[in-house]
Amino acid sequence: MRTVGICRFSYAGEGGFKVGHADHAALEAFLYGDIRMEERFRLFEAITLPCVAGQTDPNFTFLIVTGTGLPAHHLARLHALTAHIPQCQIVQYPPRPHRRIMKKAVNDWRGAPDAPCLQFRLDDDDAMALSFIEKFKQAAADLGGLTARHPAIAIDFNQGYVFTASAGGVKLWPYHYQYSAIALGMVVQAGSDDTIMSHGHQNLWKAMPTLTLTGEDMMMRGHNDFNDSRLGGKKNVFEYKPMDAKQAAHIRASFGIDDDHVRAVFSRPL
Amino acid sequence: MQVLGICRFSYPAIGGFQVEHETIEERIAYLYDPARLEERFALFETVALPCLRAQTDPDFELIIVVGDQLPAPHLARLQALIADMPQARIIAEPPRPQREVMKAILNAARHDFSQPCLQFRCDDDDAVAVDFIARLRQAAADCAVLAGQHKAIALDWNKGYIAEYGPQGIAATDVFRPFDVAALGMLVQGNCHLTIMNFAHNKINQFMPAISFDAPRMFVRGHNASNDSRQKPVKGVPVRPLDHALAEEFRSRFAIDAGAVQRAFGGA
Repeated sequence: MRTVGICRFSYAGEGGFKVGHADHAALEAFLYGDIRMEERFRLFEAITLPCVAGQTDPNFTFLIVTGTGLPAHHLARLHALTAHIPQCQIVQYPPRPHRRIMKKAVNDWRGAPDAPCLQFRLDDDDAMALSFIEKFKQAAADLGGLTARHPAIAIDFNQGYVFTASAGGVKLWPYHYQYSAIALGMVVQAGSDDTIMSHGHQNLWKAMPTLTLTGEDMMMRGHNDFNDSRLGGKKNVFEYKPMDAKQAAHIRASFGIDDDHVRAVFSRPL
Repeated sequence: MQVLGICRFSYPAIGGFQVEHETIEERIAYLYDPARLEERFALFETVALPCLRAQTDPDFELIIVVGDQLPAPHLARLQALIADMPQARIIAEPPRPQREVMKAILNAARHDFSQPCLQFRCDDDDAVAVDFIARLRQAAADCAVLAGQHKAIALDWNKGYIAEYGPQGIAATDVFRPFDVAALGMLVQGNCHLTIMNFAHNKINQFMPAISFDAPRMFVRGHNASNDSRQKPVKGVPVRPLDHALAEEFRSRFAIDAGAVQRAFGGA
């Protein structure tokens, strides 16, 4: 089944960010500031892209949605970072209501909704397990009896870690959380133009049947200085612990995140 | 597939209630207090049992667990209430740790331990929709391939109502409450000893694959004075008297008759 992932990469839309800005110019100034972009690129390079490139099932598209206002030097860097990953497709949209553009990006990729498809989302500082696409497809197939009855169902994996990344490497806190925006997918039937971006991820299970799978580490949730959902003042405080050698090997094998690479990327001079 | 429900009716468990007592005697005195039992019977008769009696798929069993010290008149009243329900039976147990006794009862009730089994819990003041058993069975069939790969999977309906019952009738509001006791089932594979009582209901999705359905609204959760989980101060849920449309939904979907509730609580 055709499979697409959608990733917002500092798309300057209307809404969709939890931090408010006075006008569009102020939003772009915030989003595309060099220090913020440097952190987003480092996370994207060291955390997110390795898990896209290393999927055990390579048969999917990874749509990276950014704004038409992304400065040329950032766009060039984004192209360079993803050039070797055939699943990556960078698409640019003008500033419009955020959710509408994300839906449009998914459905532009999809074309006429004459066949079912699989959709998933991943934010630009998070990682999904290298087995995600494979397991997502398998779960969708295993739920054939259920998917046939509903225009859309969601499939989620609820176990993993919250992490921070810095020159000191990755620090972890294990957690369970259902229907976070990581390792979360949707099976959309033919005839439905519903998309995974049409719903807040936390609200998916109010809108359709959902399955959450547990027992395996499938998500890495970034918690970093410029992480948008952390800027609202209600910070979750996790007791992050540095990884020992065994954990580092587990994280590398599960998510493609190499702690030495993380240290190297975050040690570059600004 | 065998479908097995379990319901505690004022069973004096050691542990397992949210209201703590110093001794088991104190707990028994609290549970069997005539005024408290009168309310529990009124709820059981007008809320919990009618929806089970009205199931569109009658092929299920309901085990009602009581204490072996339940006074004879109360036991006789309970027996009379379920006399017309071939699905229901009463098991009387001495005070024991509640999870242990419930697990043992569920496993002993399985007809063929080598076969999968659907299990659900119900509290004595909760109602499920009249097609709960049918939908539970259908969901289990639809998810058979997934279920076959796991010892157990959970099947949940996450929307319903909260209701308060009294002499004025019913006041209610709709809620989104995933993995609550009511309208939660578990499909356990053959030769597996897990039961729905092995898990805290609200954490069940950390232990097994869990499917949660958004529709239809599948439960009515009671919020009454003697409901155990309501004894501690909790955030109040504002409810409003049923309007005509909701009263009809309660009647058609949950077999709850607002007039019968009102009469059972001594209202006009």
